[in-house]
Amino acid sequence: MTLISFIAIAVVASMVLIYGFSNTFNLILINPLINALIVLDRLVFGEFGVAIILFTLLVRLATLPFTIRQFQSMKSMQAAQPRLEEVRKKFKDPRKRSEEEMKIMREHGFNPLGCVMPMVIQFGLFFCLYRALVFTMGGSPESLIGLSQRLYPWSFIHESVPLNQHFLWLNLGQPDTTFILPILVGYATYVQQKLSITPNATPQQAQQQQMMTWMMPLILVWISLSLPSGVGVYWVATNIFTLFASYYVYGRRGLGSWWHVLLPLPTPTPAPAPAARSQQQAAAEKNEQSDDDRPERVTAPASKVRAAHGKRRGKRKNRR
Amino acid sequence: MRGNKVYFGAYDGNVYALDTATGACAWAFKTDGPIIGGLALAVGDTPAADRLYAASDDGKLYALNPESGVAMNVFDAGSSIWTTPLINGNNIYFGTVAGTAYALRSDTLAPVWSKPFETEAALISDPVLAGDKVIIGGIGWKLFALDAKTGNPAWDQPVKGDNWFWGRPLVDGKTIYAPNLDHKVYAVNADTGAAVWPQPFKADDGVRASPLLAGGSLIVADREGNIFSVDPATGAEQRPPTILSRTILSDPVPFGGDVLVMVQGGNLYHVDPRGEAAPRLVAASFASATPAVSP
Repeated sequence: MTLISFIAIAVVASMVLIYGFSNTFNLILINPLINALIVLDRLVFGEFGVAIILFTLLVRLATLPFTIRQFQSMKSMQAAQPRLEEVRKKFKDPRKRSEEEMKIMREHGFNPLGCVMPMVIQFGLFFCLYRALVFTMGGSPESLIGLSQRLYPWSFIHESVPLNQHFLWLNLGQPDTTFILPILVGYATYVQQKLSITPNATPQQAQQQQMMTWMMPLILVWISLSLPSGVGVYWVATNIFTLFASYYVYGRRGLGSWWHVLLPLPTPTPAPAPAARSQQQAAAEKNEQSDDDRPERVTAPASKVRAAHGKRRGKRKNRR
Repeated sequence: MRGNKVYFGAYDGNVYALDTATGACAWAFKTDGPIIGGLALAVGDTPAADRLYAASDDGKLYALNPESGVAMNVFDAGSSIWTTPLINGNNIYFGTVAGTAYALRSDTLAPVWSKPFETEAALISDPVLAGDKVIIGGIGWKLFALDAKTGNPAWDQPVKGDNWFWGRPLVDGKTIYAPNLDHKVYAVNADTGAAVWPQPFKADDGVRASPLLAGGSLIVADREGNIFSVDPATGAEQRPPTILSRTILSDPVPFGGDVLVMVQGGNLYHVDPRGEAAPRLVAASFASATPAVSP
């Protein structure tokens, strides 16, 4: 694996030296993407919108291990949250506190990279797809001259050009002036943000997440107002896939959270005072048996997650 | 141009007629798609018989009265038309992005060929006439010669390039000079399609602009903004290129013994094909279409 990584890095570095960064970026990412999209377009009988959705599906399937790892990391983070909270209260020394936090995270198998990687891949593809659509759709026929230089020399690819730009009510090469797609993009991002929320111990962190839940959709709406509609189609499709991935990881509980995020949620409850927390914990442990059938929500308020965690701790105690 | 009017099509889907003296809009005709190719003007026996042909991305060919801008006839090809129609006698020829070439009667727009010519890829180069053949190329890397009367292929094999034939070919006697986006210009015999030069002329970038004969040279402008002077007989480069370093997509036009070149962004340059004088900026605008020179 290390040798393969080394060879890959050496090849990319050599290409950057020979062709420059921009050309290497195009050769490695944009051109294959353009050609793949056109092949898919051909497979779906010239419906480029369907080709984008199919492409999204294939990419998300290919990156499914990362996505599942992201959800599992989030899940383990939720499980670790009450113990982390305790550590934060208990240790005033930042170094010691950090050590303890890391220890708990390790115990729960939490991988910070597992959360970041799918987002990096998703945003990377978002950008690459934008570039690819600029070339494949273009604003005018003349912009296809650039495309001609990027297509592989296979006749069936060239014969597909120019692509059908119309899909549903959209012109895939132009921003959606009806505002329907930007709103869908914003809503899909909102749902995804809700899904990716981890319960926070501090009100400050909860506030930050709450802000991001609204900021990200608004930013994406604003961006998609000026981007080709095809990029918006990708974004909506990829977020729908995320919902299904969530269902795969969390099962019905994931679907439960999905329905919750589609509806307005109350503001997450701030972390209760230590005394209240102990009472809650005790209550949770007491009600352990009856809690077993209760669905665990990804976006549940911190108090409920702590209760669920108390349940698990109770189980551990029993095992001992 | 006709009389005191100059005509052009626009990406907004309109065909405009402007007064040459004042620039005032005499009329505008709206189609349902951008006008990507140029317009073609047919002069009839009487001014009333004159027709202005506009092919639109909406898949229709419109025959307009050039005086009033009223549509006299419309032919629906069912697929976007990016080529400038070619008028030859009573016939009019054009290709579509569905890979179909049509020949219609210019007065009624009724089909001339028993069936249109069909190929797999879009036909996007402006058709030109070489003797009794219509020469047209496209995205499928092929340049076709079609019998103008029947629409049947006139060569044993189409000329094969390494990329799209988009620029309008130039016909000079029995030789066809066809630019290609593979950075090359092909010189082929109009009767057989056989190569005339030992090898195609190679520019530095794709050639979208139509070549031009001026000052004993074949003038080739590539997309990167290099203007080459090529020996029309051998395909050899005659002198170092004039470098404008601006994207050139529109066709150079002859101007006296010199050449006018419109670059993308709108600057118009006066280029000496003999290479004796440096290129001169003669106008700065925001246009990037092929300019028309008043006789």
